[in-house]
Amino acid sequence: MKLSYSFLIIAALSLVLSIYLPWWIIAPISLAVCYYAQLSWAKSFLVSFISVYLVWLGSIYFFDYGTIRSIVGDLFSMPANVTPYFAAALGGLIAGLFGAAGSLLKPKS
Amino acid sequence: MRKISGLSLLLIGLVLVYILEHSWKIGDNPLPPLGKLLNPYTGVWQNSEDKLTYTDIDLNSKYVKNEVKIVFDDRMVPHIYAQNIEDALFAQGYVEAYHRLFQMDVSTRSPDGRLAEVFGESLLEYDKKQRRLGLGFAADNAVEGWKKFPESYALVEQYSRGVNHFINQLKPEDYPMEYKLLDFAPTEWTPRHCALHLKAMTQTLAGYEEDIEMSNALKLFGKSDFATIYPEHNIKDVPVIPGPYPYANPRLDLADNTVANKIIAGIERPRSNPGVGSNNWAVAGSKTASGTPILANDPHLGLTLPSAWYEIAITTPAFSARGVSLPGQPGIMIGFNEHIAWGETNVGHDVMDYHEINWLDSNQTVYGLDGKKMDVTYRVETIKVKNKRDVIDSVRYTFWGPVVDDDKNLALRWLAHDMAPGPEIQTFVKGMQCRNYDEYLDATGGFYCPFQNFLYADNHGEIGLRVNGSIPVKRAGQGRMVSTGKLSSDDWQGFIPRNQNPQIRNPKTGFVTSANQWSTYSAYPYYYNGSFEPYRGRMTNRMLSKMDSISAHDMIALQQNVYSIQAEEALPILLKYLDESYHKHAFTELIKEWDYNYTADSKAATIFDTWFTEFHELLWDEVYGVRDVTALPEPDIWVTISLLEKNPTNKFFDIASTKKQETVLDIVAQSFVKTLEKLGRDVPKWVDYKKARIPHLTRLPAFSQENIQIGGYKHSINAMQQSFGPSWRMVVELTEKPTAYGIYPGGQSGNPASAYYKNNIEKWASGQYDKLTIETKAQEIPNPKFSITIKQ
Repeated sequence: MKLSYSFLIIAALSLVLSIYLPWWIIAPISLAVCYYAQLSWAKSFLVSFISVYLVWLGSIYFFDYGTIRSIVGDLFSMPANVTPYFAAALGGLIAGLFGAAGSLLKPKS
Repeated sequence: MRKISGLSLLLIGLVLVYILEHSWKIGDNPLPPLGKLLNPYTGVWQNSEDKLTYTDIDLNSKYVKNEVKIVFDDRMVPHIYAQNIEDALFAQGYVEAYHRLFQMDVSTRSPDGRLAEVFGESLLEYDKKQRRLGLGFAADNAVEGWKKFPESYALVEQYSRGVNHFINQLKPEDYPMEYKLLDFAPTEWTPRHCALHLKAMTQTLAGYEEDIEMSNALKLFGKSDFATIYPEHNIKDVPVIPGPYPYANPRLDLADNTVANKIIAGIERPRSNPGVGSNNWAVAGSKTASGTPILANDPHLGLTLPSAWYEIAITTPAFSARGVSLPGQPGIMIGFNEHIAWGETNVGHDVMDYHEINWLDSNQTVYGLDGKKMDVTYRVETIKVKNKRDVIDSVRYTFWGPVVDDDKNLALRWLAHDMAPGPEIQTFVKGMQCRNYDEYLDATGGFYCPFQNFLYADNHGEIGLRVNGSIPVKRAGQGRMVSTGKLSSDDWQGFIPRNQNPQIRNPKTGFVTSANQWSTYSAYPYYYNGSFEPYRGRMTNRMLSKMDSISAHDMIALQQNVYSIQAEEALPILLKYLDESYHKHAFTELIKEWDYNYTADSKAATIFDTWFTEFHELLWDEVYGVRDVTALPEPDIWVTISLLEKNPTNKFFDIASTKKQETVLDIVAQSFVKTLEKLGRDVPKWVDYKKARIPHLTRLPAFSQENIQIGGYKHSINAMQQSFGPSWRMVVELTEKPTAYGIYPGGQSGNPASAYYKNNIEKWASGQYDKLTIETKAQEIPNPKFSITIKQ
């Protein structure tokens, strides 16, 4: 499977399924997509990371009118504007790990 | 190799997910479940609120009989329009949960000792103490009592159903932010929660006792010195009800041997709330410009975010009322309708008495009373602790009440534990519907505890005030100290008949006022003791007696008054005794010119406040010097001033620990020097010294408000201390259609991300008010934000 397809499928599934399922659904999604995608583990990590990172970042900007940023910033002692990127990176990291695992677990044909 | 790497990564990933899904503790700092908290779909981002995008809501419930319309105005105040009171209370429960669910949850967990369940082990000791005080037991009793009046119990049930309707429709992403941070879920609301809420208020307002401290002081100082340090009445007091008291009752004397005659070890004592208090007053038409009565009320509580109060308006075909409620209780506590206005202040009587338990067995399960053997009963308290095992405490209950402290062998007799004999819970639901004073006295007659000064005014021209609650009949001096607990006849001797409670109606003076001072002069034929405020009541009386042609704006100005009678009395004497050599000092220059007002920018206020405190503690070194060994009460500040005025050669001016015989001159000089040292060259303005702040219920700085610019102090009418102060200010002029003003330091929404979370703090601090109008029709609300319609 091409890089761009993997990217789009992870993004689409993350976006849709997260509405109904717990946040960690991004983990099995990345795992499964990268298992079948036949990309290198490094590419799998990157594609899962960036895909979920962007979906989460976009979603956060969609949901937050601006006040949550500053509250999360106060709570975790970080600048308000950094918080959406921090949150998105958390999601990206989980997706990336599971994506890379998925690629490595697939036996080479 | 690939497979091993893959499995390793999978494992790391799973561990990370687990970590992000659960809450942790790093050192003393709790770490919330970051994955749950920060993901965009169920995390905190979902709690964002844009003040431009509120949309109308339609609901269905089988518990409403007719359509209910709730319109939120431009300050997010709900105006409820219902066809009957039952539907209106369903709506009240719904909107209070809608805006304040977490607050309602926590404020009922606190009395019930269920905070450790959500905050963790750090609050376990607090929970234990609350359970030992028997607040959950008290709530159970209250509900049993309410059930005896099915008609009024139905009102609490309706309110609870409204709360639950809101809770039941919540999905995890909709939970208020605090639930997400603490990682727990709201649970069903029951009438017992309303009882718990009432008991929490009772603990705040009727939780005063200094029994152990007073007993210790009597033993330590002896009768004569005790009377000097801890007298009960100040001759300058102006009580709430000046009399006459046309009730015949023989004073009951207390036998000396019923007071525990020993020092009770341990200095860890629960602190009663030093900042709790309130002002209210009503002036008759004879004293107002419009010729109609004006009522004013500002209750002082520990200020929190969200605020204790919630603004609400309720209209049915029978009435139309507006004011503030306490989320968790049905009805309007302080407010007005088209005919009357009402408000309360705390009374402050001591209804919390400790009795020694005379154990007859080593297991401490059998005790002696009236010469007979008595068995304890048990109430098993299971305390849930977050991420830990449950903790079980079997609390022993005696004739008097729970054994609060095992080491001290003391049991607590507290009015809060009693089942109210009357329809207690209807007080504020019926009260808000009244049209005249007789109706109001009847509606509020079932109110039990915590005693409140129920103030009233109406548009027929009546004003009145009743010290309301079931006041126990005590022997003179009873309940001030620990009792030996040997005789059941040392219990209270029944209750004062409600029509003999201190009260006043349409006095010739043209005004009534209360500010937590003594309820009566000592001529009142029943003994009571308690914690009473020495200055605010004198100030309201002083001001109101000389005011005429009063307008609502004069009353607003009076609520802002920061004048200190304490300073007016004490400062000239302190200066008189201050050595000449200090008179040229910059400090002295400043305070000599001071007008005794604790304004925000006053430096003189800072100096006086520090100086007086230093002087007071130095004068009473006999007390403050041993308080770290023995629990003792603090002497009242009026006693200090009275000593300065009348008895400047009193032996207490000597400092016990020195060989020298100090006099008042020495104490004044030494305390002045201490003040100089403490404040340094750059004396802060009062506002910077006081550092007023309003913390969130969780104390999280991110949700709190710091550095509030406001003057006032504990003993001025505007009694704003650091975090205690006027939690709601209201002035109502009873014109044909009432003209009313009000404000509280906070906002309607409990959501820290809402524009309506703390929008009113600055306005409140600067002494401004919002105009409060009653709109009898939903379509008359100007600039509505959105509405909720509830149908069957």
